[in-house]
Amino acid sequence: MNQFSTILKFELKGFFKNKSYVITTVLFVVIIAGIMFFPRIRAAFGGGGSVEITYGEPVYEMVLDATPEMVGQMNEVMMLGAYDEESAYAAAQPFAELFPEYLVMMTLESEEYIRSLVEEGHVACGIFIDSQTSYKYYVQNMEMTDNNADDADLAMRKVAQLSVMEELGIAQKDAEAILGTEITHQEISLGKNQAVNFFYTYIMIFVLYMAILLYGQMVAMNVATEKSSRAMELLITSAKPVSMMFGKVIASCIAGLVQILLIFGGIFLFYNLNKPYWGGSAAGTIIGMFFNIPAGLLVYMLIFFLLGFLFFGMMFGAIGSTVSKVEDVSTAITPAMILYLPGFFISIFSMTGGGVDSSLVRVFSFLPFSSPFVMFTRIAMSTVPGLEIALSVVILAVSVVLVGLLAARIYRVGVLLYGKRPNIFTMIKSVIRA
Amino acid sequence: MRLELQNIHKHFGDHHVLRGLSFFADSGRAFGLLGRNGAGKTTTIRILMDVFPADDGKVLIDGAPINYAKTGIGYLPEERGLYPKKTIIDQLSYFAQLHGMKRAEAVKSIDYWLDRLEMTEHRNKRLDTLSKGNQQKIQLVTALAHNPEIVILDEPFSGLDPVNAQLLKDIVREEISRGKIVLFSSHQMNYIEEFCDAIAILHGGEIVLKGDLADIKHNYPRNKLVVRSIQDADKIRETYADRIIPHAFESAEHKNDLMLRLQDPSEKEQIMRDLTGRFAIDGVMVFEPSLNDIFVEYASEDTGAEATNAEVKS
Repeated sequence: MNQFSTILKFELKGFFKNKSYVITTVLFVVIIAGIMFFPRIRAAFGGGGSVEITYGEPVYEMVLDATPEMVGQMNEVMMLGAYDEESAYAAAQPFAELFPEYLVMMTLESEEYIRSLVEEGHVACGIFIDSQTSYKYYVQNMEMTDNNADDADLAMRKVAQLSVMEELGIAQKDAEAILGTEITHQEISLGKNQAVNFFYTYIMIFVLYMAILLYGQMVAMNVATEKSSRAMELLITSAKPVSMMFGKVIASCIAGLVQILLIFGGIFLFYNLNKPYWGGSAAGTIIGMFFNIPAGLLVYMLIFFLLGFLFFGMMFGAIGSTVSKVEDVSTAITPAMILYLPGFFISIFSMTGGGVDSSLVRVFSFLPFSSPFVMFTRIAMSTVPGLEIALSVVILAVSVVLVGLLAARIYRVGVLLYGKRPNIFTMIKSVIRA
Repeated sequence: MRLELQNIHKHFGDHHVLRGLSFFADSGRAFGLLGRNGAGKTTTIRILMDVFPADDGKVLIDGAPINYAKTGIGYLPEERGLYPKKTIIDQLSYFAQLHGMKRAEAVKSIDYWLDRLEMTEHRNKRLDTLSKGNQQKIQLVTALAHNPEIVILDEPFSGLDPVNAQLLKDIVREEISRGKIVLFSSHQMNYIEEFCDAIAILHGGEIVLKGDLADIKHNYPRNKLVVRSIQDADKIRETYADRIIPHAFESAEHKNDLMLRLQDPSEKEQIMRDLTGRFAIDGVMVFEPSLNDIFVEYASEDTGAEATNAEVKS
């Protein structure tokens, strides 16, 4: 125990004195600060000055919330045209109302003209109404979240309905009232709301993935460096391999956690400092959502992060002890990486596919090499019985101890083998013999 | 205190590396563990230090199984190496703490040793800024700082200049006089001869010779004569063709000395008389082997048979 704490302290000190560790952490925090302060800085320097709008001859402008300055800055103009003048005028109002985020400009020019404006990037998008019941939506690059066409459908339907009602002799005011009937609804999810939990689950899975990748490799490098500098000759006679293994891996786990906490602490702090400037923007909403993680889930996150990290860290450490040259580390750890990819991908696919409770996912949520990813995903995105969570944690914790002991054994045999890297079978043989 | 290895066996795979090795070393004395490359010295040291267990046999301190928590061992490995990028005081105190010292205690002891080795000015430098010889002195501190009862020095003199070698000799003498067990492993026989009271020669995983160095030398079969004759060397070689040991002194100072084998030590007087009567002799004496000669004889493959029937009682 004494040896373990000596090793832990020494390794931690090594991390916190390591220039690349310190520089990466500081750089991350600075970049985060930059991003978080960006809207505030832009607000301070932006604004003011009128912008000439040079394209076409807008016959009709629906200016609701937007000002011409904003048009110039954001280029968020929707160009609206139609097959005849009357339809164009009829559509302008409903479109402007349905697209408050755009400055809707109506033109009486041809479809070709609207198309060219979009193509050359003068406007964000364009709508050309072909007939009373059809239109074309022009946009340069269709974004994944683009649902303008759905809104445009609504606008078109409204225009068509109004004109039908007008023909039937219903007064415009009555027609608007009929169409404007407001429905309210509440969505009550008795389990988890996957849409809300999606973001932070995704981020956490990804952080765990990156942490294992980076720090696991660091553990392997660390062991291989000690071996190649022959400090190992002395270490192996001074400390027990088990203390060595656990000391190193836990130290890198703590170093990783500190880095992650600094980064997320940075996001949290700088976001809150600049909250008003992020306002209701999409990015702001996501960040806000991220900091709304329920406390219980945070605890699970920590448990699975720690155990998952230790599980793979031990494995990487053991592998590091079998190579003689630091250059060989990256090839040597490939098999262990392959072992941890299924967990990551199953998590991601089940999240995006929505099938977090399928039997495949359930099986993988108990296997130690995938449970840190998969069980955490299930907890976050679905309702998992407490017993299943406990079972998964116990399996993982026991596996960590077993892998740790095995890793210490491999380490003891591995560090004394120089030269050609033993293949997996000779390694297993000598570990059993040792 | 007596450190004893009893009937140690070790296999690596199908390779039987140590075959029933036994020896003991007493405190206040230096013990030399000799053997050619691959004879099993490092394996013996690793078993002694509990890096891995022996397949069979015991490591005893005063007759009881060794307790590694109680008995401190200091080790200077043949393959030198520490952390090149870390400061000297940091890594030295790390190793001393791994051996169970408190940090303050460790730093105090390290400062003593750095001073003793004239390395105090380098205390806070990174290891890789030091010359190779100085790095080796730093490594020596890792073997001594925690004040172990047993000090194992594997090729301690390699890479040291004569001044540093002298410094190390003084330190080794001090450690011996403090009542420690000092275990030497070296190929440099002159150092072993200088320090060690007792030796064991390992060959092919077995001890082929062990005991007090003085006894070994004294009991060495006195069955060889060294003959120096500048005038009649060729004649003597012809006359005693069946007794001449060829190339015995080729690399020595007196290249032209001859070595004659006696069938029995009692022949000595007769042959000496013969030689002095018939030839112009500049000198004739009974061959007193150096440790080097003994080592070469016992640790060569082709003389292995001769070695096994020459057990020396200590």
